[in-house]
Amino acid sequence: MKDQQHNPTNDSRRNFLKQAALLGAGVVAGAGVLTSCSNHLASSGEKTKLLTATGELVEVDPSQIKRVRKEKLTELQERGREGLTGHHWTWVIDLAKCKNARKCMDDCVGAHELKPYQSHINVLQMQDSKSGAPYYMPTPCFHCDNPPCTKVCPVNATFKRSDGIVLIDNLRCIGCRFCIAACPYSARRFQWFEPDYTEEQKNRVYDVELNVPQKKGTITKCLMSADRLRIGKLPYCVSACPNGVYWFGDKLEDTVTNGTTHETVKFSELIRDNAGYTYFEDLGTKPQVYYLPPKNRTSPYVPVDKFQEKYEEKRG
Amino acid sequence: MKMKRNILVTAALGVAFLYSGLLANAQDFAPWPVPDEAAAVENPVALTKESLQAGKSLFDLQCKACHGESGKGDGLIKSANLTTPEFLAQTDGAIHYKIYHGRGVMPGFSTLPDEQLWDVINYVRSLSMVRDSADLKDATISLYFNDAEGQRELTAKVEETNAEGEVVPVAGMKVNFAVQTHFVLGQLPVVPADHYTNENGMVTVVFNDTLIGDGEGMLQVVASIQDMEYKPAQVTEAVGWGVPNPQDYWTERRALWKNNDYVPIWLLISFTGSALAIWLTIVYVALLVRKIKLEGDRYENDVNT
Repeated sequence: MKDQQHNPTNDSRRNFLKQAALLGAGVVAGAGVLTSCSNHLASSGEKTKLLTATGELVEVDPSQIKRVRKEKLTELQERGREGLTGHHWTWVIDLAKCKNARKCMDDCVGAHELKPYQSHINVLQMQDSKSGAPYYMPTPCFHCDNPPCTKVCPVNATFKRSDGIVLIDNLRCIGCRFCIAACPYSARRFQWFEPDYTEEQKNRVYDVELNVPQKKGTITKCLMSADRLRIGKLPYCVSACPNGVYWFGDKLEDTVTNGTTHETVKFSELIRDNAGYTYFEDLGTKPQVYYLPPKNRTSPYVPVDKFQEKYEEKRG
Repeated sequence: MKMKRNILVTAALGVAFLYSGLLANAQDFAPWPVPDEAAAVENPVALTKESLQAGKSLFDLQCKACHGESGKGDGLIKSANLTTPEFLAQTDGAIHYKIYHGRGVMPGFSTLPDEQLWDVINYVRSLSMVRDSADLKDATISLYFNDAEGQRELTAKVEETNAEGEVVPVAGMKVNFAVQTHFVLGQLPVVPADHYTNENGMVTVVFNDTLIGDGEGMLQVVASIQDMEYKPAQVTEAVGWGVPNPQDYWTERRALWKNNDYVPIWLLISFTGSALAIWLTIVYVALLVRKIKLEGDRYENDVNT
């Protein structure tokens, strides 16, 4: 009843048409400005507002605007995105051999220029039950075939390559840490602090396969030493182990090589004969790092607090 | 300020503790007493070329990582130097006792056959004799494939040039057959047993293993010699005896990169379509409810007037 008193329907339609006309004119004008930018027209006296990279709003003459192409990726970045064809890297960790020498961690820290506490591979002291035997367990990134971490990345900075390595591109990384939250194995580290670099070191070309130079506010993680695999060498940690813990190889080739003794065996046979298993496989992540159970150990287990005693003994 | 220093000292201690690990501890280099009866045991294995070779293969596998190739204790971790006069002054029995029982970082090798331990002791004693690589003789090795009568055979021939300049075969030389993997250091042995050349310098082994080669099934077969008197030599030849490598492990490329980059079209259409259908249904129901409300209002008006 009220509606019939002052016809609002017609009013709003008129308004809508007005706005549509304005919008259309705006679009045409905007397009005009843009085309004039690319064509380098002579100065028209008009000013265009632009947002600079540092976040300042500035006015410039449209004739001064020059379009630039997006910078091409460097070779080091580009090759990191594609996996090595015909390979699917795999890793077998023999828990019976690990004696917590921590050589793998040292070499990892050295190669990836990390702070000591950021090592991509960590050796944990494990005991499955109160009556069970304790053992040491090195935990790198498991390079899952169904990685939860890459799927949550909003900027596609972390990705899985066709040869099975999960990598991180820290030039794309925005430091949101969704991937840290998604990873069930705590395999990722966040760079909270500025790395100790000189200006020169900082300005090196970024190598995505080595994740060097490290950058504050980004993620760093185990890369299976992708740069070493490219030249036919075993990863840094694998070749640093003095106890023969690590076997590294190729699932497609079905061979694994021991980093210490350089003994080479068939991957499938090693896993079959020693009852190899993967960690938390019930999560459906399909980890690509296998463990061999800690049986037939050649030396007795030394608990971590014994190291402390030894250290104090040495100090006198 | 003092507090800060304390924190620093604690941090330094913490780091040192983390790194102390099982690395060189003072205790690991202290004198290692051996019971007299153990030291008195005599080496039952004679010092022969075979014993030295067996000792070398075991040394390379189990000892080299820490004690270094030359046994000087310059391997991946700090370890005992096996070439010092003090070390060599021990009896074979004492060395055997130490290898068998182990201490600290040095593992005990009680699980290995006793004979192998004596072979290693023979080899370790030979390490201190300085061997100049110039003194070693040159040998050449060549590799042939034979694929007749359903039997695949590998034949290696080892030859050397003697003092008169003639090429003569080397007999009794141990030849290792392996397949080269992607890694320079990774050579998968083709035949497990030891094989020695005959008086013609030839050795033939049967190759009936199913190995995975490259995309075309090519295998890089390596024949190599490692001898105390000769320089190491090897030859690599390609042969199509392998199973072709599947190359592409990924049946579903969606697992790579981000999943939505590899989403199949049918899934995209059906998902978007069903989402759209659900929204349309909701809108339709809302319109119907509105229609009911308007009908009700009209009915009320009619009743009132």
